[in-house]
Amino acid sequence: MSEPSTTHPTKRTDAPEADGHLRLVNVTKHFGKVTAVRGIHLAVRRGELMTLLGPSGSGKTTLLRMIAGYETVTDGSIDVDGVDLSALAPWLRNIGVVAQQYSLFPHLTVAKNIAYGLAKRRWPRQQRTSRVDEMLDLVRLHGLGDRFPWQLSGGQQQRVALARALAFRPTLLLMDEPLGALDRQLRVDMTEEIRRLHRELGTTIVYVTHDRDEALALSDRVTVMRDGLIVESDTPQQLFAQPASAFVARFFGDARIIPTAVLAKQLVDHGVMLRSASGPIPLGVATQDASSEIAILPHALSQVRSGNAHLELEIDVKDYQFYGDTVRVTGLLAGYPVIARMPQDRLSGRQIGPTRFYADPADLVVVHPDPPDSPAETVSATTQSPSGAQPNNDVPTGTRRR
Amino acid sequence: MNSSLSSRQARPFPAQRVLARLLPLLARAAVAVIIIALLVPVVVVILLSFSAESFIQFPPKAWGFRQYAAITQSDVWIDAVLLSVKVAAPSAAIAVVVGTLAAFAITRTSMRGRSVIQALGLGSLIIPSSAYAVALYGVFEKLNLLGTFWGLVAIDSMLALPVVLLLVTAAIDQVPRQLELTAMSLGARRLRVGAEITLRLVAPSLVAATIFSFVLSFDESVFVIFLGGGLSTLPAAIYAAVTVGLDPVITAIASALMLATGLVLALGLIVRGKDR
Repeated sequence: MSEPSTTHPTKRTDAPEADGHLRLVNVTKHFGKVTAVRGIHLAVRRGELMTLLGPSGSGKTTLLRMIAGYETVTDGSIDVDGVDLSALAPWLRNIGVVAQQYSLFPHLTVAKNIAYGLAKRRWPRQQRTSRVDEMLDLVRLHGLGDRFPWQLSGGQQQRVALARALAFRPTLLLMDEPLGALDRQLRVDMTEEIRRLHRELGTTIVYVTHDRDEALALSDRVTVMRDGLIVESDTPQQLFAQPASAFVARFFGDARIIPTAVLAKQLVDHGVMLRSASGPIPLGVATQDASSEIAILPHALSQVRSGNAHLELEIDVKDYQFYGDTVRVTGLLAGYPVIARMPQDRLSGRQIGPTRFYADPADLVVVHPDPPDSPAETVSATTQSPSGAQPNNDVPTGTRRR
Repeated sequence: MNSSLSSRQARPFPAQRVLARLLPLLARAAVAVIIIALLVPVVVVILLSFSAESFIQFPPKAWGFRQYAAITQSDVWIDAVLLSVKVAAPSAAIAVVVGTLAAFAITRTSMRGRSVIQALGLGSLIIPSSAYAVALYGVFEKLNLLGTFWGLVAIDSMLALPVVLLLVTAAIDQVPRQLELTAMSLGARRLRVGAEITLRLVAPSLVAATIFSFVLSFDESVFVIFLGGGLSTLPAAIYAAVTVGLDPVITAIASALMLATGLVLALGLIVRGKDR
């Protein structure tokens, strides 16, 4: 399934599916000596809303720009419904794009902006006007067709951009951090709006973001990227509850990572069944792999013992932070930082220092450790691994292939 | 040690204090002198143009519109203005077309040698005009362009090129790439994007560039005297009039020219200012 030359865990990376609507095969991009995308294989099903999630520099935007035709593909191929896109200029691809900002033509009215793609496709005038009205209704901007972009709010402008990208019935809609320039409340509203549009139109959408909450709320499937590679690709629910890699557990679930051996020292019963992406696994078995790590998801820990939460762990609590519906507890488990997040009624008190916590073993997830850090990422790395990160020793796949 | 240091910083020496007060005053005085030096001749010329005498004398003993009437009575001046317009119009057009294409090449392509184009395009700004004119004399002689209309047009469009290049590259740089890419994704080919989006958005700067080029060519005096071979554009005619004798008519012509140029340039600035 996974590419032999990749160094990241790509366990759940999709091999190109036969029924893929959009298929990326071994897509690679070099910018001079820098490799932005390293041989990506990905298939998006028809009607799917797939999010590319990753920190900046992970290659997600480059990937999107290659699909749009803004960048050439160094190696590999991209096809939609079996048609290879690489020979097609951007204007022939029939792909809608919504960018973060600066996307409306300032000299054209809202109606003319929306009609731009229709005019280029030589739609008859009557059909054009009726389609524009239809799109204005769809994005709830009825009657604003004669306004100019600068007369609209940021949220309205993005909805016009959305209407314009969808008006010509593209086979695929690409969205590049479309909510990045909006404030928080507007982002939540727009998320709802995008989901509604997706439900009503059924358009296949590839959505790029670095915002985990946006990805959680929007997507049918999330593809987490790092260093130009896919780390994992799965439903948000699955990635949240059963991440396969330490990176996804941290980035997606806000989990903290400890070595399995450390947990084993805390527990007497090594027969408890832990969770892993490939199914339940006894703690004793997981410990046999010296490099294996455990992701402790914030919701796994409670100060109250209950049916499933019966594993006892002692955590050296440093602080409690009140978040309204939940309380966030920070502390150390055998010297490793952990975060617990629980409702008020699962707190037994607010004492600082060694405190007893209970965990459901099924919420402790055995994950693949991070690959050695690449130079580009050492700055932003939040790795908890006490063993010093080794210098990058992976060879860029492109170089190897030559 | 420390206290003496800090007190020294807090209270400068008397000489320094005096200087600190004097410097802004000196700067203002310098600015005033420059402005007066620039304005006084202008004012004097304008005043002289309303003299009713047949020779230049300041202050004039009698006032009137005699000089302005003299312009309209002489074919020399009207012909000179017409020739200047005839040269300036095609010069401005050529400069704007060539300059805009070059600006696109510089800002929107990865063409090889585009920085060379940029540097050479600004060349005529850097080389002293008289040196350039002398050098061109030989070239023009070989090409039989000396004293020809199109020779003048060639020079003037080349002189206006840097202005167009600077204005239009700056304007194109202001157009977000994302707009052009979006237009492409909507189905517009590259040339259409250039025409419908980029060119449309820099249109105010194109108008301004046209006006500036026109004025530059209309006012050009050095090259026409060196290479014009007697072609009498307005600046050449004024120069000729001054070298022969001091005809007070030129004060009226100069005043009218300043007024017209000022108005046109102001128009250009207004159009460009509307560019949001």
